Amino acid sequence: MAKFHSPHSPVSLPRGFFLLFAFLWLASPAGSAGSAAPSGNRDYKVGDQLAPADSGKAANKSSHPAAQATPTTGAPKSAGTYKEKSWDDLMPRNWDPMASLKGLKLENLKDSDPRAMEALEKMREAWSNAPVEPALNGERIRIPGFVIPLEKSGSKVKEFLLVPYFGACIHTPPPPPNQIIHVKAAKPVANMRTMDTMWVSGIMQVRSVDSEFGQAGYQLKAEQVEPYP
Amino acid sequence: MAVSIALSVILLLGVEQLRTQARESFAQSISGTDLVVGARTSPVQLMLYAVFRLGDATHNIHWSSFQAIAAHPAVAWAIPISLGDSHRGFAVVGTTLDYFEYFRYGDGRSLGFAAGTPFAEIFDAVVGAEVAGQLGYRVGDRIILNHGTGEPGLTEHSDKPFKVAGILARTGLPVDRSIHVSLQAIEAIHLDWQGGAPLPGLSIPPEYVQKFDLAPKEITAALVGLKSRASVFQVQRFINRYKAEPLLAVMPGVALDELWSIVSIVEKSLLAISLLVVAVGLSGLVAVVLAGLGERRRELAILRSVGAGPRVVLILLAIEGAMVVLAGSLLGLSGLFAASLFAGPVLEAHLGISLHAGLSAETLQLLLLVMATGFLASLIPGYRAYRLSLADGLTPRL
Repeated sequence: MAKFHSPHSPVSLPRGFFLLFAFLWLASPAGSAGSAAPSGNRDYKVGDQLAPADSGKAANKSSHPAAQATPTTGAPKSAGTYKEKSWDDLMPRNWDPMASLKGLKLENLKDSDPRAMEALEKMREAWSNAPVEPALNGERIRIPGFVIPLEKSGSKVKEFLLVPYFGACIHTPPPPPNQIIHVKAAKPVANMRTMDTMWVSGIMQVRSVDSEFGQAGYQLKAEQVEPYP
Repeated sequence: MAVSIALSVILLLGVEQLRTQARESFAQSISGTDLVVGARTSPVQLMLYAVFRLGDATHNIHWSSFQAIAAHPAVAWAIPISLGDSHRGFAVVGTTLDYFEYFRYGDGRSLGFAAGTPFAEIFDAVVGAEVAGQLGYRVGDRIILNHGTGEPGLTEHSDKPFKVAGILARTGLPVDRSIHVSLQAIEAIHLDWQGGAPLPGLSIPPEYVQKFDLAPKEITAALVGLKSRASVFQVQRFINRYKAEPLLAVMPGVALDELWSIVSIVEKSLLAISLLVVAVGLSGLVAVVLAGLGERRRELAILRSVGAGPRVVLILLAIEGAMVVLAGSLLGLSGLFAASLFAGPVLEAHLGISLHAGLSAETLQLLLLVMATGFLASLIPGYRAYRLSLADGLTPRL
């Protein structure tokens, strides 16, 4: 009888217990959520932007959207038929919100010069009435950004806003209308939280200025939403 | 043995179910609303009192601020909400007819009427399904509101009774447990009140309230819908920087995420504890079967002697363990269903969380996980038996 409880037993109880618990923990939602959730967003600082997947793209900032080739070899295979875009592509090429400040020679101005403030006001106005790029209408694009959930069903997100930099909306003045994409996901996306980073692929719809404030903007019918990078 | 596994399964699945269904019912409560506006406080708290009617408001906002927000060119609609009074423990919500028109929940469903119409007269009230069900109200009944919120025994607005004008269809939301009246009615029942109590010796009869200015002065919160959802940041900033008084506008989705990230630590530790309990249950099973092996040496040896190989013995013991785990899991599952049937209405009445018995993919996954772990665990005594020699069991030792 005593022999059965001898240390010959293949897995002694305390160790077996530990293994059992470790297995349970790792396989449970809590264990997997802890490791799989894109909690990496804590690493971003306010204003941080996402780099496009292929590093060469970051250099040609001012290239016209139409001139963009299909994704280079560096892009993930899921890119498929989507054209990869950067957030700069969403601004019309000849749009320069800084125009009002550029004509100004700051060194020639007096302190508290009204002209400086006037130029700054003009710049701010240019930002909040930022125009959209109509050439993007109907394009199949793929773009990375930070997520702000709008509409949920259960724990899944059906509609969200995609913005180019971390902390947009919360700590800093809002991004201009041409730097916000209203995304409607074809399939609700699970495990998505505020300021998670996502690749969104889908068909872009451009609504031009509706004479009223804040009506211009981009809407994306997302066919794929996947974690970035 | 099966009972201890059943109890641990109840705990594990119960925690998981409560977690997912609480999230679901919170997410269901609001839809199509772009901003929730109130006095400056924490975004989570504003969401809790304005949308879920949990906790108390920190402060009211001026009617003029609400009008300024509603007049903003990007705003499509704005619903004012005035809280603070109650009726037999149910919240009284002062609002406008826009509430019945624009409020959306779930997948964009709007509020429907089970009976009656929205309020038309000043002392008309529209009650939620739960209020009508519990208190047995029908259209045309007279009700008296209490001042303040909380337990019965509060001062009553007994001089100005309300008439039930409509009963809302059941939604599963805090709306079910609310009584909706017009903002003017809220003003009217407080006309002759001062300093939080009725003025002694002064009573304005209900038929004369119209002589006074019943335009709302203050509201508690507002729900705002926008013409274009992408302009939410601009409007949010407009409200947060509003000069006349400090206001706070929160995006419901962001505030809910914030709430869940606060709660997730508790959730995770609860889940860890219940996993630990399952592990204890399963190792108890292993220990019992291991101890039983001593008693069953003869039995197993006889099986071996009539031709059963060591593998057959292993399989037999593994099947035995698996059956116990299966029985325990099923027992636990039925226990959980019974518990949620019993506790569901209680939770719904007190917290507004609708708990329904049902197997989600996640609970099923957890249950399968427990069963798989139980099967693996029962391999331990099986392996012990597998290693026993035939001679060992046949040699009697006293």
